[in-house]
Amino acid sequence: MSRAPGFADRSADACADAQLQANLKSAVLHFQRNRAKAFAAFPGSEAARDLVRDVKDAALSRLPDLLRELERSVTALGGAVHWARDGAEACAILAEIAAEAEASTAVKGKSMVTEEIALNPALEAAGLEVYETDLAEYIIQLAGEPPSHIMAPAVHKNRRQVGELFAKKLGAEYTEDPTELTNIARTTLRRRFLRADLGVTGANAALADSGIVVLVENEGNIRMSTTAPRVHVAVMGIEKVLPGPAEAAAMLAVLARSASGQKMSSYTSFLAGPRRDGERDGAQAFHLVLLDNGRSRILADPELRQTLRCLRCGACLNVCPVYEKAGGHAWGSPYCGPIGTCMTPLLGKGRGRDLPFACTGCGACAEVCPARIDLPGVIMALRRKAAEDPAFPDPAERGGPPLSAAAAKLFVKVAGSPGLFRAAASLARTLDPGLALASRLAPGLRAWTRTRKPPRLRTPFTASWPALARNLKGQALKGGRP
Amino acid sequence: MSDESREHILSALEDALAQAPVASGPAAPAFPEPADPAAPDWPALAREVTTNGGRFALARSAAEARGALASLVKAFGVRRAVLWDHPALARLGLADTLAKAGVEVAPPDLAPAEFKEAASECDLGVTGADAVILESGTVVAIARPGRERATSLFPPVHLALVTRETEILPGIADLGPWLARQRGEDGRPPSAIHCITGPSSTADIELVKVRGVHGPTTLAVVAVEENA
Amino acid sequence: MRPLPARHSGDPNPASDPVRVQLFVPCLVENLAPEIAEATARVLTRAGAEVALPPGQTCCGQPLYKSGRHAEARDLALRFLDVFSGPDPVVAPSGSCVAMVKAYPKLLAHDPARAEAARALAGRTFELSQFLVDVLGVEDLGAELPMAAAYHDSCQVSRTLGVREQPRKLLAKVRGLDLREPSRPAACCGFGGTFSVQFPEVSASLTAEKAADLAATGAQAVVCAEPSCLLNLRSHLDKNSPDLGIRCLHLAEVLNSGFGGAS
Repeated sequence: MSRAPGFADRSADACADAQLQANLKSAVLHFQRNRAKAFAAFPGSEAARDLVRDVKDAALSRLPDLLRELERSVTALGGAVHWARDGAEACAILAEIAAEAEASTAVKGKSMVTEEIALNPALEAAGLEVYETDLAEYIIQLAGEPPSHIMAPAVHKNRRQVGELFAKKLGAEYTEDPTELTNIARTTLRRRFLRADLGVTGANAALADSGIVVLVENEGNIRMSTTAPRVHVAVMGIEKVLPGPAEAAAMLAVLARSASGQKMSSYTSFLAGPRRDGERDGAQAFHLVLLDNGRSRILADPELRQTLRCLRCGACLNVCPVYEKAGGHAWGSPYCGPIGTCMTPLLGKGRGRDLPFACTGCGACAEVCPARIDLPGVIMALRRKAAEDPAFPDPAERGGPPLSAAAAKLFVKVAGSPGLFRAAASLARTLDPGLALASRLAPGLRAWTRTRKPPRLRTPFTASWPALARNLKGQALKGGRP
Repeated sequence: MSDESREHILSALEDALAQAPVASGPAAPAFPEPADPAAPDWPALAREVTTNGGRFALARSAAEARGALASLVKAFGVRRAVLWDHPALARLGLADTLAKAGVEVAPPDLAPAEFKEAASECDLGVTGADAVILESGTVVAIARPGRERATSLFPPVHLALVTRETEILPGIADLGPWLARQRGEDGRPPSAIHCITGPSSTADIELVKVRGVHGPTTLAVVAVEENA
Repeated sequence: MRPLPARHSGDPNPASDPVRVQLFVPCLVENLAPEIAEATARVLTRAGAEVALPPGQTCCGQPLYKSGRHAEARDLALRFLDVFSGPDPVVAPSGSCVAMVKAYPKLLAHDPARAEAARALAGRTFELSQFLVDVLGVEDLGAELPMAAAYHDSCQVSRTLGVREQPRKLLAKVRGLDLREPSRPAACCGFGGTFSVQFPEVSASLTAEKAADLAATGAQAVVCAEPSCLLNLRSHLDKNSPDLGIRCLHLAEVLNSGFGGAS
């Protein structure tokens, strides 16, 4: 069993970083408490989660029709709809929109899907200046780092690190005070908003019956990006379309509570195409880019398609013991935590063969998912695929199933015969009762025993059963203790 | 290229569903029963608004409403303001209060570029509220000509007036039916509806809550009971 | 000699007609902690059950299943169905092994006849505390253990099987036991089977965190209902904090305490 690269190496680095460990623990406990408090005060919460699951499944079962209806509605509003099979196509579409609009600067709201398609480098290559405007995204953009949490992308940084970053990259006077740091970002970015040509956002949902795009945030940067610039482009995964307002309300009832413990986020916006005659703000042109990038493939798999219900709330990350120690960067993907484990091997070209095994199977994620995705079940299905399908999801990657096919067959052979099973245990007990030899030979066991004293192999229970059985019979007859 | 991709994606989805239809749950999702229209519950609204970091005041007359505005102007040193073109603002005589306090009000007929500039230099934006959600203390603002998005976004202080024009929604679930009703004569929804719950905020730096990131630092909600 | 506690009043079976159970011994317990199986057998007997050990048990297939080797796991599942084909309830001192049996119907879905047998088996397979409290209606096993102890909610027991109250009800009746809750009772201990071998740093960090939380209660013993968590925590404490002298006990061992002799 060779040590898997990728997650194993990155998570090992994370565990060795004391500052990161402190930041992560503090963050997840904070989010856990907030979510727990909000749900404890929400009497209809279980029904609300059932509703989200049903709403999403119903929408997925009609996805092609809903997307067609959405396209008609957006077009009727004066917007334009574009379809992208993969990330490269989506980036090309956006570059073309920017070129036609003669845009030179873009402001961006936090959007997982734009990270997924690596939009920023593509727009920059096309000659645009691109500014992330969500405070955490702005911080990591300045630092040149990827996000480490779906909801709080800069959770791995503390105030001192942000202060140093702002001083270095913005020439600001050094401060560690979060309010002062936020004001620096506000002032700098306010100028950008007012001068940008293009506002790029994701979308929490799009409503087929009206063409409305739903956007949820706390900072106001998405409102700024869709109010000040003359063009608004929303990029959205095809699985996010909903039939109409009732479904949107069902989603909103649980989204902010799951993500941050608020009943509603500071701003929930329902945007319907470009501004109307007589209006003086809002975008003058609206584009919706619909992205597949593997989602249609996920829909085709009955075991995996529930992954498409995801609301991107981040609740699963916040309760995942592995996330708490490894941090988001260990996933090497814009999607981290349990949902990241499920999506990363399936989106785009797919990668992260080791991810499904980087899970203790504790089930905490499923307990909090507002869409009732059976994350542990999906992860188990992905393990099976990783073991059975040599093409899954990136054969060039090392790592994956801890038991080779040969070892698995040997195990079945031995465990298929009580005699062989007993003999194997007996042999191990004779040769290496303290598992000392095994620890030296197997690198995985070696790592295990670095921090643990291995148990000793013992005389098997079955061997002592006959005597015990007689003793228990005596106890039962006496009606007392053995 | 986009048309080809459209066909490719749609047929991939159709094939996916034909292969294995989505397991059926209930025939239709069980949406909650629509609640009866709510009477104003000012204590509930006050509690939610203040929990979210906003300010709340109840004005029992037009005069009290003007007084609340005057206090806000004084507290925040307001020198320039932008107002919605809204019957309640006119009816309550707010322009008068601002004039008396020496506050410069952005003229209503500015061209879009000038309007954007002016709004970004204002200290206060005053809007009405098309709806409020009692459960969450949310104020809902619909964008229309003369009722700009920027008014509740650019200035650091946003005053939202809850008046007889405001529909009272008991819960977040009621947003669904309400939203469904917001259609113009042409059948189109408004170009923008903003649900505002508290001032702009972030906790991105060490989870320390900071108010006023890109949107207003202060949200003031004044509920006005006009008897006369 | 302390008298046995009275049976639960709702119990339809008088003491002369014991419930027969088939003891399911996880392979970890068989080879690394046989005392857990002995304690389980004694506790069940004391609760009024007649314990049988079906011959030929080896492994329920969990390590294969969790490694993604489902075809191989299926072979062991079919074997398990045969070994436990008798009609009596099956009881194991392990949440994860019971959870594996509960997954058999899905694993064998391709074979409707066997899947049906698996469903029947899954319906009569129980984790120990679940069986004692929910089936036999017994909470007081007459045990005594004057000690401060902290209970760890193992993931498979508490989340997968939903068993949280039953162990606590049983422990509440142990005379002299001072039961303490850690600050995060249901936090994962970090073992996760092969996870601990593939991702040893994360695993070790989680185990250390859990051990520290349990130790911070001031308890002299850690109790849980899952052998793998137990072995994980014991191995960690033995290596890193031997001076604390914290014992790691399976729930069955605690319930078997205070009777002198073999407990």
